[in-house]
Amino acid sequence: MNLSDATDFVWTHHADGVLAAAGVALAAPWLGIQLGARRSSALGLAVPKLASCGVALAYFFASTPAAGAELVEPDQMTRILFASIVAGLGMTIAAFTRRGQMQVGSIALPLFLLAIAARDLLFLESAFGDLGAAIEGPGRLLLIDPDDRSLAVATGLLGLAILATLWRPVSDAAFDPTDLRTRGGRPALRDLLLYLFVAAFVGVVTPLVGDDLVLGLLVLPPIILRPFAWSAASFPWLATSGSVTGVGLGFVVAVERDWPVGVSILVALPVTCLAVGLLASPLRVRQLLIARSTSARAGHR
Amino acid sequence: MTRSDAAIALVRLTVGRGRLPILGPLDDAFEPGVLHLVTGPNGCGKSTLIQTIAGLLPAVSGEIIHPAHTTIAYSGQTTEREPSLPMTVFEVVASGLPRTDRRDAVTRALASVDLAGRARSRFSELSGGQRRRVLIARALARRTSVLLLDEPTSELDPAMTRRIWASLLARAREGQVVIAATHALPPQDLEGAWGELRLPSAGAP
Repeated sequence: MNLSDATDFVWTHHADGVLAAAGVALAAPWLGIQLGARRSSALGLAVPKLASCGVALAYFFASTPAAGAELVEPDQMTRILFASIVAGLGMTIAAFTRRGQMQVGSIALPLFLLAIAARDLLFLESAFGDLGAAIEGPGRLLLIDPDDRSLAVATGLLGLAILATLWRPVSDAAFDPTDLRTRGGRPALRDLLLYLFVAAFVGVVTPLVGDDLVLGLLVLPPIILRPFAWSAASFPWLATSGSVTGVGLGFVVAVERDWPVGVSILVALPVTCLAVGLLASPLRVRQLLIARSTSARAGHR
Repeated sequence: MTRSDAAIALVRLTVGRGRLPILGPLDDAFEPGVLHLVTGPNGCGKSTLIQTIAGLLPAVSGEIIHPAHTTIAYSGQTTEREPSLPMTVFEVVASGLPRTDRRDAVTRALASVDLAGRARSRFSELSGGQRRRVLIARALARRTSVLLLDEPTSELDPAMTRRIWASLLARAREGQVVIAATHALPPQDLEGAWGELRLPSAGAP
């Protein structure tokens, strides 16, 4: 199948990919918000690239089969395992960097660049160099088989359930770690666990839908919707609304324009996030008006 | 009062940053019913002492003795970092409270710092003084056995300063152990007892 075939709308080609992306879109913004709350948004750039570097590493190791054995591509579980390990390693480094009071950006951006370079070189040095472009970029066409679709959706639902349940304690650690420590909590441990959770989530979904899409879903909704959120509790739901509708609109755009689905979703995401933000803005405006009127009353007293 | 009756007793306590001693050794006891003020010049170790009692810093030497069931609320000078989560005032004050009847506790605490009308405002959009009052309200809402405050009235206007002192004296009267590091003393006409632990300037013998 060539690019032209793939971008023609064929439901069976695209439906699994769109559903997989929607699954990822359920939970990724929640993680992006927590990274932002820890001044670690740059890790949202680095961790999907680290995961794709892990995928390349799986191919690199598969390039030297035991004597007499046939050269076989690593299966999806192996790719996910390698992606999670490399992403987890990077996030662990980032967590300890943060504890040392170093700016996270100063470690996240080198990790981002190193991951891209290492991924390219690992593919180049592997026996699968010719496959490199197709393997690296599943997010471009989003041609995904039903098993991978189910895994992406299940991961998204599970991630959403865990994050919705633990939102308050995780947010407490981000907002005021000192206060948490006086209550007997361990914010550094919670941060490390969050980072490893991000790595595990991204490690699972990146081999399925591609690093660029994961990056977009982690980073774009939180950045665009933060000004429109009227509370910490409303923020992730707004971001998820923006990301899931972005996947939907991306699918429609792909159908209408014959564009690759993954690329269309990335283009649609800012549009839907802004639209969701504007729909939510009356509540935010009301909040600002109440704040202004109470300040004015206090000033008169 | 003997040292064993006190809610918090300092025994040959030396506090500092890392292994560098700043203050001590101190022997003192903080009992309920009295607002305890820790005063002294800048740099003498007031905040360090409060943070050590709160468990945020390790003691250089000596001990802090308190009953096993002691619960502590701490209100620092500010949050550790500029908040990037769009937390509302309600969400900040409610953090750490059980879900059951937290609404009443938050409402009462915000009323005591005159911020009842700002519960739905974003914390990050408040002024410095208002943020300080929210953090005090958060500590008040928790109803712990010990309440520690670091410069609770800095950045506040005189009327609000008076109101905060009145709230803290009331808490002390109700039996909470209240300790505040401060440069300002409560007005003499407020009801309630307070005691002063005056620390020497840094480097004094």
